[in-house]
Order: sequence, then C-alpha cells, then structure tokens
Amino acid sequence: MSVESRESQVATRVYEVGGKTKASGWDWALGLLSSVAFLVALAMVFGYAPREATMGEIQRIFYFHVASAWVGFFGFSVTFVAGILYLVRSQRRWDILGLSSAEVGLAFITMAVVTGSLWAGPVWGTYWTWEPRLTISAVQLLLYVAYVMLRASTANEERIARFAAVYGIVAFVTVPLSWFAIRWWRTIHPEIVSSEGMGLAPPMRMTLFVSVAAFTLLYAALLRQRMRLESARDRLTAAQGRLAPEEW
Amino acid sequence: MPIQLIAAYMIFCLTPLGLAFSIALRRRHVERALREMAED
Repeated sequence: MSVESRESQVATRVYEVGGKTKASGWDWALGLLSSVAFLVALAMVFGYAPREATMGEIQRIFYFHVASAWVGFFGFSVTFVAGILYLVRSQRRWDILGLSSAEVGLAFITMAVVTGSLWAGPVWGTYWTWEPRLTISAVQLLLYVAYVMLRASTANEERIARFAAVYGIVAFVTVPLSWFAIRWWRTIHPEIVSSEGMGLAPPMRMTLFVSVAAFTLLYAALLRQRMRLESARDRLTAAQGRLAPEEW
Repeated sequence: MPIQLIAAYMIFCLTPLGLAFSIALRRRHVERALREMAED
C-alpha cells in the first residue's frame, strides 16, 4: 500500500470516527433525566423526609449514602459479568463495559465510604472503626483503586484487558461479602433490609427509592459517557496505526 | 444543620459532577487529536 493511500484511509476513518464520538439525543435525554431525578431526590431528602427521632438531622445522609453504595455494588457487578463475557468471547466491547463500570462504581463507593464515615462521627462517636462492614468496604475500595491503576497502564493492552477481567471477577467477592457482613458477623452497622422488611416510615422509604432511582440513572448516564470515551480512544489508537480494534 | 451533613451532600453533588467533567475533558482531548489527524 502506498503511503498516500494509507494516509487517505486513516483520514477517512478519523472523519467517520469524529462523527460517532459526539453525544446522541439519548445521551442528552439520559443526562437531563438523571439531573432532574437527582434534584427531585435532593428536594425530598430535605423537604419531604421527616426528621429522624433518635439521630436528628444527620440521619438525612442515609438516603444518598445507601443509594451510592447500591450503585457502587451494581457497578462492580456489571464489571464482574463483563469480565466473564470478555474471557468467553474476547470482544473489546465487554472490556470497555467492565473498565467503565468499575471506574464509575469506584466513584460511588468512595462517596458511600466517606459519607458513611461523616455520618458515623456524631452518631457512633468515632469516624472510623475496624468492624466487619467498614473493613470490607475499605478493602473493596482499595481493590478497585488498584483495578483502575492497572487499566491506566499502556503496555500490551490485550494482556492487561485479560488480566483485568480476571481481577474484576475476583474483586467482586467483596460485594456479597460486604452485603452479608452485617448479617453474618457482630457489627454496629445498621441493617436496612432484613427478612422482616425495611424498618422505615413510608415517606422515608419513598425518599430512599427515589434516591436509589436517581443514582441508578446517574450511573447509566456516566457509564455511557465513559464507554464513549473509551471507544473514541480506540479509534484514535487505530488511526495512529498502533493497533486495530478488530485484532482484539 | 450539622457540618457533617453539609459536607456529605457537597460530596454527593460534586463527585458525580467532577467525574462527568473529567470524562468530558478527556473525550475532548481525544476528539481534538482525532480532528488534528484528519486535518493532517
């Protein structure tokens, strides 16, 4: 192939790619919907949910704290499933999904851990204690920080993707472990959902559901954007002639 | 209102916003590189 035709091919490919990386109508709709849901949830937390009798105002952390933890767990579950699918099918899209979901999930689980600590300060009398749920959450956080650091490496991308898929599957063990920690071991962390249901007043339950829905929408919007970024990066790499995505 | 509650809700509001901006900036950087390659 002559140099000229190779350059022309690259230019055509880049031009096509440039169009595809732009946000679609669905992206804007999802972004808008998640923003509105977030604001509604925020209004409900401070204007609709009643003041909790024992803890007082500080209990209002609960609604977004649980919602962030849920999204973090959900994000890591998606990484787990994407990891299995990548190992079975070796398709780059599953690797992109796993990587994007882990990064977004990490942001949400970090929020859950930090705000949980802020809540514990006035209620437990300490910002941190090495009890089972908190210890597992700290380990989980560090495991996924390591995952994201691993993905930042540029050496042999296919090998790293394979290793990351296995790592994402192994690290997922912290999700059920964290969920069951408050049921299996003696812990001071409260249990929200038990076999007897949720011990919450109806306005509190409604506020929690709206918060969880808003955070799930926010996760979906951020995940879509993150996946789009990774696809654009792939196209840039392909255009630079270093690695064609179809080789994966 | 307790300071911890204010701090927590600042984190809840700013972290997703920060992540969204970070993704948008990184994408802009990649798109610019793609455009420059196309122009060359």
